[in-house]
Amino acid sequence: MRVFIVRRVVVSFFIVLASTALMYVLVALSGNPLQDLLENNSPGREARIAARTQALNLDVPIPGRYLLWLQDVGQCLVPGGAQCTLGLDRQNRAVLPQLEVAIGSTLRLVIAATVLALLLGVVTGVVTALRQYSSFDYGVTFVAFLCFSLPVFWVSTLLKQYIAIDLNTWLRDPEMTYASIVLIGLVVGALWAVVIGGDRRRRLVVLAVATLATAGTLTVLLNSGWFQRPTFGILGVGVVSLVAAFLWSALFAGLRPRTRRVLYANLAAALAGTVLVAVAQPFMADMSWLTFAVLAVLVVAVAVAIGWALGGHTRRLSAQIAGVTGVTVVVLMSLDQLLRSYPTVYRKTGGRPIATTGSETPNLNGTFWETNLDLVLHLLLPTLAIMLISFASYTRYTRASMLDVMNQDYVRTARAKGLNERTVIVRHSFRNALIPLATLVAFDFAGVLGGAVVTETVFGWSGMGRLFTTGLQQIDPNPVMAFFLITAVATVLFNMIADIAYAFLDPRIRLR
Amino acid sequence: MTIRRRYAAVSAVAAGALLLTGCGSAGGGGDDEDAGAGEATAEEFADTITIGIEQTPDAYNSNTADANSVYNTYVNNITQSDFVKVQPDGTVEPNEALGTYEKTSDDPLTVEYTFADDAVWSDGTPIDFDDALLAWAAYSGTHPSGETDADGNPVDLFNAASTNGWAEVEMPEGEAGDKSFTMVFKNPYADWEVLGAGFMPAHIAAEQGGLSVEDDGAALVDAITNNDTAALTPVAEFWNTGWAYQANLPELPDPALIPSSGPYKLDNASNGTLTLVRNDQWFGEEAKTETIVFKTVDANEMVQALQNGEIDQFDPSNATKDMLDQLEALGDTVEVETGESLTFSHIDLDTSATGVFNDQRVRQAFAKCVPREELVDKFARPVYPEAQVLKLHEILPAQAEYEEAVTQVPSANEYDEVDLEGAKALLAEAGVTTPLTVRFTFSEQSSLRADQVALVKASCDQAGFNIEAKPDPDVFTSLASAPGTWDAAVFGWAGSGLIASGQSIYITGGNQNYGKYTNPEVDRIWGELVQVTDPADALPLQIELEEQLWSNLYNVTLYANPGMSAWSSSLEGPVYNPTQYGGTWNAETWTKSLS
Repeated sequence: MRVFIVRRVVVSFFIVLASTALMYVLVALSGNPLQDLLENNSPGREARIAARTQALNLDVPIPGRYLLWLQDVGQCLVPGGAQCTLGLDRQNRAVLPQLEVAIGSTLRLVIAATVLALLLGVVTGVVTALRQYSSFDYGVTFVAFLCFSLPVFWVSTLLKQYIAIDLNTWLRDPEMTYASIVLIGLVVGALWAVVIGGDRRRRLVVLAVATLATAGTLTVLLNSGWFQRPTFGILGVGVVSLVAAFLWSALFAGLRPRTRRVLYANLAAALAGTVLVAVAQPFMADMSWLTFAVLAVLVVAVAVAIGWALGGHTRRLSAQIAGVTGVTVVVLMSLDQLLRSYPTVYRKTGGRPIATTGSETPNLNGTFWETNLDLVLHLLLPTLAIMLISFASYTRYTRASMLDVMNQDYVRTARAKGLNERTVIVRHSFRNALIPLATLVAFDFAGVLGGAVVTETVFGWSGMGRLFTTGLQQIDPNPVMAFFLITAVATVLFNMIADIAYAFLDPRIRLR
Repeated sequence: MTIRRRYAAVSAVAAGALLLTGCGSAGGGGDDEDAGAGEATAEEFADTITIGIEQTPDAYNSNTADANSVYNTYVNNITQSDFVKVQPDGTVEPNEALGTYEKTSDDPLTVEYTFADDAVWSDGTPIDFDDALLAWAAYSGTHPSGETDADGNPVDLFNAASTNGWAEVEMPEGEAGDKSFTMVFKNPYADWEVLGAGFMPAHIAAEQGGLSVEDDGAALVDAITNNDTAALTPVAEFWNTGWAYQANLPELPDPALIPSSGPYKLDNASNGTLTLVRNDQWFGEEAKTETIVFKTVDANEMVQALQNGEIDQFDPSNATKDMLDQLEALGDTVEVETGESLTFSHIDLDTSATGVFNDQRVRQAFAKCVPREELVDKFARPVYPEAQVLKLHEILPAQAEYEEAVTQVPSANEYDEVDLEGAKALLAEAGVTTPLTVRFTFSEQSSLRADQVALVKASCDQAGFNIEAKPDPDVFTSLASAPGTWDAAVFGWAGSGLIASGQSIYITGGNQNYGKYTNPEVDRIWGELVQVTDPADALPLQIELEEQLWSNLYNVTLYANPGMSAWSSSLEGPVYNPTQYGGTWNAETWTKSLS
């Protein structure tokens, strides 16, 4: 293992070195960096050409410039050396601060989208695999390929029109005809019916119940003015937490008498979490990331402790699931707080809270929750755009991998020895199906750092993608190389991590 | 049977429910509280106006060669004051808030400037002599650093974008703390009136350059008066780079370094968004709106951002029919004003001794066959329906004098309509063998120019020319440094509305006289024009110049490029401004209604 890592690191170093050399030369040769000045006939032309020539070291041949760049990078690696700038851009500004700003911006933009797409994609992939060749399977396959082939800029324009501009207009005076409420209910009901499946009778029941529930909820929400002043309330957080606790227990432990204690422990954990959240209400107004973290850790820790204490002989499993329940409580609490700050954000954004461009409302000066809701509302469209694209591949990979595992001998063995279907799927199939995904996820996280060039441009984020395209357009090698350095190192590194994780997860594989 | 009956029952219930619900609706009515609030504030104005710009401003000092971008100008329009304010029609009006000026002599041209007594930077420091002297030092190009650039030219301490005009000014004399100064010109300069601009806070530059700021900046005044290069070097260094922002504007520099002299001052910046607030030390008429925000938005996303209320106004750098259609589809929530910009399209001809167009009659034949009306119809009128064929070079339709001037240039009207017979006759008279091959060059990146060349070819090939389209990835370099490789070229010139700036395009041996046109009369008129000191005297000379450029044909002007400005109809105040100052020239007078 250690030999493997050392060898990989050494090889990777040379791969990165070679690729930076290639990249540098390609960028430097991609055009004339003085182009715009040559076309300019204003009086300061000579001085400006001289300034840029000096900034970009244009009087040095390209290999020399590459070595100068390597020297700049070296200064960042050697502690106590000269100032670490990663070189200067063509306006004589250090690249490192620009890179820091760009990475921060990109991470905010892409991480949420990638995680959400992963979760949603995996769940959908598993369900489609379990309902292979059902109408749901075909439907998802169709949607996945449709999304995969959509151009981002076009999706973005549509999203801006419908999810931002039109939805904002609707939110000003939220109103829906009963006909459209019933229609929405029917669509949601039909979706549930095909997901849950079963015989015709069961499907019809599911359809009816889900339709009624959806339409009813919508009607109540609309009539109570919920869309103007949305909130769950502590009661809502409590009820949803209890439902979640029940679902997690049913999914991960089953509802057999043997694991009944897991269910009770989880319900207790959800209740305790809700009480904690209720007690913490006075602190919500002045929350910071620190107090939020303290509260979150506290809620999860209490949940785990309760799971452990009440779990009986299944205390390990019980504590794990209680942890998940605790996280659910924290998520619900955050959602509740974000929703509660909606009216203020609505007012401060002039009644149009969902943004089409930029990363924040200028001069919002809001509380912790208001600022974050504003960020969420700015992230909404780009996140949807990125998700629609990457969701497709996760779904397909998970489905294929799940189907593959379901046909393995050990799954048949598990069934043959009388395990119930839940255990077979969750413990024997699903876990193993996730192994190939490790490669994909590692790859994607390396890609995340490269930013989303088109998405960033369209939604007005100045992240890594912007750094790269601007640098390339201006034939300004140092910002491009900073971008490349990060993405190249990330790619190599995450590849290695994927390989190690692979060996760790799958005992059949050995690293040599 | 039972199943079928159950289906029928379910369907009946569902259908009934649909019928019942078909006409009702849930929700609506709005929030009572909000509705009440809306009524109460209907007469009031919003406290923030957001302006969309395509690139982030990159420096507070927009007068350096590195930062001379239009987006800095948009901000500086309302954060820095000049002695004059250029109006959208190009006329110059004094800005009495900053102070007054008076021409006291024509020979030598002498102008006396006086800062208003209450004129101060937003940090309270009076605007006075040291600011004026620093402006002269920076823009006059008289402070060599001792270094030379790659071509061996001396490099000035100050990296000024332009030394035009200021280079003709003698060093102003005076004492630190004086509220007035005098500009004496070595040579008369026609655009002297717009030179009273570009004042940066000298006390900041001095302090950052390590000079004392006591006694109204006496140390800096001494350093400049005595030409003390050692003392000035750090000051110039700060002047050049100290006011630059970080790339993409993640934050502003220390607010103490960027005091304003306009109705607004810089407040904060984050993620490419710049916020200005009212300058509480401002000495002119108070700005109408408390906060102005500049938000960076991609050019293609402006319309939707405007529609969603995220920006209230924007000036597209490239106004297209497509964008106009999108804006017009938004109905009366948005106002669009189009017009003719100060950039104009034209066809230059190689008139040098070896050029195809050396013979005046060939040039005239070409001018007669270029379908100017059709080009305007296809490329200018879609955006600005009243666009017209451009008949002058130095006065553009956006300028107030155009209408009157064009009637006094008879020769400019000779090529209004396509005259293929006339063109053929002229070619025959010139004795050239037809078809006469013309290598017509244009920017390879522009499909617009390619279409225009195709239209010219369709018409002129009938008159005896053989137009060969010659797309060039780097058309300006070829025009300037590869004579003989092209015969005609279509491109745009950005006019400035100034009197003297076009000289090098038309005079014999001028830098931008790519076609090597030579006309002693034109040279003479320019010689007089640049030294005119009263704008009223310039117009007759310009008319004389235009007559020369048409009667001894220089080139074929096509049209002034259409420009556009768009704003939310809740905004009161914006107009389309074709000058380089852009839409924000009067942003301090804008208001935004809340209803």
